[in-house]
Amino acid sequence: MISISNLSKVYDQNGQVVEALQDVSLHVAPGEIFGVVGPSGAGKSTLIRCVNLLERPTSGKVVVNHQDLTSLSDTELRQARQQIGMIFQHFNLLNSRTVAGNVAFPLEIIGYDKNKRQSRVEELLDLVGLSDKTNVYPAQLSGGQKQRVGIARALATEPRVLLSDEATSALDPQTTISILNLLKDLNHRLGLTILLITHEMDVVKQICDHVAILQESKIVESGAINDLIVDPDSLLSQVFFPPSQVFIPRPGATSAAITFIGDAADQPVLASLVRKFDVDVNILGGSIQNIGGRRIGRLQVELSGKQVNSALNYLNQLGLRVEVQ
Amino acid sequence: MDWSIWVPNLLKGTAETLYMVGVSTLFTVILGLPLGVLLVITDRKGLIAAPTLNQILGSIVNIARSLPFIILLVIVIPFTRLLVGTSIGVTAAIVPLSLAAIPFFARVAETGLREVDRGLVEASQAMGCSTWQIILKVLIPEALPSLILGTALTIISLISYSAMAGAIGGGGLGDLAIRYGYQRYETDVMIATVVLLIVLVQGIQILGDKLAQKVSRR
Repeated sequence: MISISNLSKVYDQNGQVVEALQDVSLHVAPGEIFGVVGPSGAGKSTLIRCVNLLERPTSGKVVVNHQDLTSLSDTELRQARQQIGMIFQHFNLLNSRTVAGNVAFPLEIIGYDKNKRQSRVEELLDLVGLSDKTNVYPAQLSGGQKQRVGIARALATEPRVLLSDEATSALDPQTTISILNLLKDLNHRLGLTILLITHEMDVVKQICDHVAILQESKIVESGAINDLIVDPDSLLSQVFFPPSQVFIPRPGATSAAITFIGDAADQPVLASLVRKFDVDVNILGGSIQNIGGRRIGRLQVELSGKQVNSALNYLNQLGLRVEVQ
Repeated sequence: MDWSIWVPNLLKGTAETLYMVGVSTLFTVILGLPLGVLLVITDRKGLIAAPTLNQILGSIVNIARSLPFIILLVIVIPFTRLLVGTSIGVTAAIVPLSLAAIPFFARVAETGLREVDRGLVEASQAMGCSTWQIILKVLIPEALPSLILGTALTIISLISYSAMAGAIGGGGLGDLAIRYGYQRYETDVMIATVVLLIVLVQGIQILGDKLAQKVSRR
């Protein structure tokens, strides 16, 4: 749906050359929620602005909806943009227009007549749960409500793609969750492809299928959340399960980190382990998280006894990831 | 003094002032607003960046604004004759008045338009708006409260300029004050015109504030 290849962006800032993006490539499949995370200054904003060419990349290709945007004329680009929705950190609503007026704005741009606009606006406000705010001005709305208007506006022209530029960064945690749930819901119901940038790992954890980590203008890691999270070497798993302090095992004992994913996270694995094998298990630490609607846990344990190796094999067979330290 | 003579004179003076200022304001907004928009959008980071054009326009505006009105009044006499056929009278005064107010209003409009959040322009671009649509549907409506206040400010400047125009035969309240109040020592007339001018200015400001408040949705 979105395909970015070898994208670079170089700025000239008061005679100083700044490389905002270096050879960035990423592919977002239809119906996917793809998150780009990274610290501020990593180039996230530049990246998402290059997707609808609010910023022109210095080199590289941007293909959205099978259209190479970099090769389009101004008029063609405007038409292409009308099929790409975008939401913003600071909502960017028109203060001079009511909620309905804001949602109708993109419809005016594409030339819908008044009656058609009105019924579409009603539909959209219903979709985002703001039917009762039709004639209210943005100044009277809360942050979460403003973002809902932003989402309704972005979806007005029925785009297949939604770009989200730190859409929840100005919201409190409670509101963030409700906006993320709305996005997830729209993704399911409309098959909407979402590319979002954020500095909040929690956003990735809650709704993303795929993630790319952007650091110092480069993508340093990219992949499906489920694959990355079980890979102890991935940056993502290290963020969610920070490496615990290295325990020096007691003499004769083995220290291991066990990652539980999916079904195994719900099973009493350790209990059956001690029943089956002649081992003692000492739990040193652990955590469990909900990531993309799945429970993923990690335990730091110390095993001792005669059958440690067989026990570790058994864990591997269950599909758990075991690292012996 | 005989008010039966002065009242019609004062009324005529007020009507002349309102006519001069009214028509000049019309021209000023019609020509000054596009100039203000151009100053904003041709900026280095503007919608259609054209730094050279921006600098040229900026310089013209600055030059026009640095001329004292009384001097501009004299300099443009040939131009006024060309347009109106005469350089004397109320209609002729409209030419220098507009010429003085256009660059002033352009700067005021520019300031107002610049206050529109950059993010709004970006959002409109992301929705596929053309430059025209952004100007007409985003920049001007969002800056409307500032533009209204700026218009009130311009009208008030025009009222004071129009009094000066009166000094070289432009008519209006200023003319009345100078000829009768000053040159013929008719203090009552002077006071009456000053009071009328104060009322006029107050009225315009109050009206401007009210209107701006009405369209402001912040």
